[in-house]
Amino acid sequence: MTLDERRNRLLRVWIESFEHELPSFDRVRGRNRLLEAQRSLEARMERRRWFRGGFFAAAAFAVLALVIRIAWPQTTTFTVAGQPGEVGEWLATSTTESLALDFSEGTHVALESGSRARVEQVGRRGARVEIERGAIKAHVTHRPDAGWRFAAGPFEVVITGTNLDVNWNPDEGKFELSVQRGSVLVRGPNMRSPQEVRAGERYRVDIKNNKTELEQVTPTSQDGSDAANGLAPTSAEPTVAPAPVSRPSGSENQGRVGQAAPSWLALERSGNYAEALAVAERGNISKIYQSAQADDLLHLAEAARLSGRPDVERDSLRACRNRFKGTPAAARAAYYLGRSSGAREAAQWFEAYIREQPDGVLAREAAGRLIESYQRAGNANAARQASTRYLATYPDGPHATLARQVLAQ
Amino acid sequence: MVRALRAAEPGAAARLYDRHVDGVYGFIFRLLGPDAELDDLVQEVFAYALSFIGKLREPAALQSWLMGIAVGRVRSYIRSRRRRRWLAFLPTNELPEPVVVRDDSHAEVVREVCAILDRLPADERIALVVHRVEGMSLSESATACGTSISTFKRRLARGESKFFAHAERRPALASWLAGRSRHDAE
Repeated sequence: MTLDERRNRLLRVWIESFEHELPSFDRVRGRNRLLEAQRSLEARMERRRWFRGGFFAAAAFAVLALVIRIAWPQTTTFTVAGQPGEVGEWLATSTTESLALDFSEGTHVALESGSRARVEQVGRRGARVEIERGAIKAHVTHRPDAGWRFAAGPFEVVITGTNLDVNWNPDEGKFELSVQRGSVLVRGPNMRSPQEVRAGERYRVDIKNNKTELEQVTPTSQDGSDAANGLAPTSAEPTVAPAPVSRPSGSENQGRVGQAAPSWLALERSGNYAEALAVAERGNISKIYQSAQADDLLHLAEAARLSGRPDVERDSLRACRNRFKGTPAAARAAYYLGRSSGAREAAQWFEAYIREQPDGVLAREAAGRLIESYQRAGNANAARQASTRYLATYPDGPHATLARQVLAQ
Repeated sequence: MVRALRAAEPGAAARLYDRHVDGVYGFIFRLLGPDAELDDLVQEVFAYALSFIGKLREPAALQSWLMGIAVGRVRSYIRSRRRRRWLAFLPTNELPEPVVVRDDSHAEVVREVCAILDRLPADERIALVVHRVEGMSLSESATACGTSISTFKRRLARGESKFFAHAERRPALASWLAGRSRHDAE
């Protein structure tokens, strides 16, 4: 017998012995155990899928919250003389001391001696400071979305970034605002629209005597940047003699400082429309059409309209449209032209406004006046189309009833 | 059946188990010998198969696929058992046998074979059993072991050489190699 044969014989014995010794096996128990384990595994997988889904949802939420936290500006906080300040708390200074308020976004406000004020509100973009009496000096950090307001009696100064002084004397009813850098808007009693005050200008209101003055107190550079950077000393005096301010632009801008007579713009702002128009015409009104800023042309048109001079109003508005094409001011000029035109032409101007400023502040009014214009012009088809558009956009607007009547005809 | 398993049809898992459990159980027993973990290893093979039935490319090869899974599980088990023994600082031959084997000639052969197999590396042990005992072809065996035929041949040759060398030194097995009859051995 060869070695291979003997080895094969051992292998046969090996196989035979293992077959003989194979343990009995409880097949039913094994099957039940397997199926039970399988059900348990599937339940576990299901829970894991839910957990994984929940985990990813939680992770997405956390990332979103982080992005919002980073992107969303934080509420402004402030300190008063280095101590945490409290919103709404009145702050008063003696006749010899001032108080420093430092805001987290960089703005610095100094409450001058003999003053009383409080931080009335703080928001993510700024704060509202109420001045009961006295003076403040403010250096407001410039940010495109800054929302700073200083309230002084019936006046409110709206700021995006500037250096300014505000003084309010409630006993005498006198408000004074000086701007060293940037520009601000002032709202107050007897003001038809907000008053813009630019760098180097001082705006004074005497409520009791019904007097308003806007004057140049420091020279400004041609680009409108400021004469003063940072807070000016309390005792700072104007570097040149105060002078009333006109608001022409271009070459006329050079003549703002030290101008003796009030300009047409100053007169327009003070409500003397006929006189403003007369001053404009005594000078070279064509030059104003050619060089004035867009807003000034709208002011001139307004003065002309209220003075019963539609020719100057239209020339001024057309100049605005020709020179400032595509701007909101040009669209506004179109609206004003529509307001002062005959029905057919008016419709074209209102269409122009809606086309140029579909979301503009006058869009709803222009859409409504468009219906009226087409109706007056006898263009029933166009009036119906305008009515349909109006109702689709402004179903509860002031011209909605008219629009429905037009469509019902 | 594979289609039913993939579609998770009711009863498909039970049918798979009933049809193949004897083959898998016997196969694992021949690889390991008497062992307390036999039942658990069989469970693991079927649980794995049910979970990963999608990996089976050729439905006709279901049985050999199951054997391949069994080889993998047994290989892992042998290696982990050796690690546990090593960590326990106990020599292999001093470990108590997990299952009591009846004291007759068959039981003695089984005990002796297992004692030798326990001394072989897992891969060589598996190669020897799969080819020589299970009777799989070289190609099937190599596939079940997840290796090339040439690698499998080398493992088989090393395993056979070591096994028969050890068998020569064990009286219960040496008699078969010496040309004695079964009757003589008993």
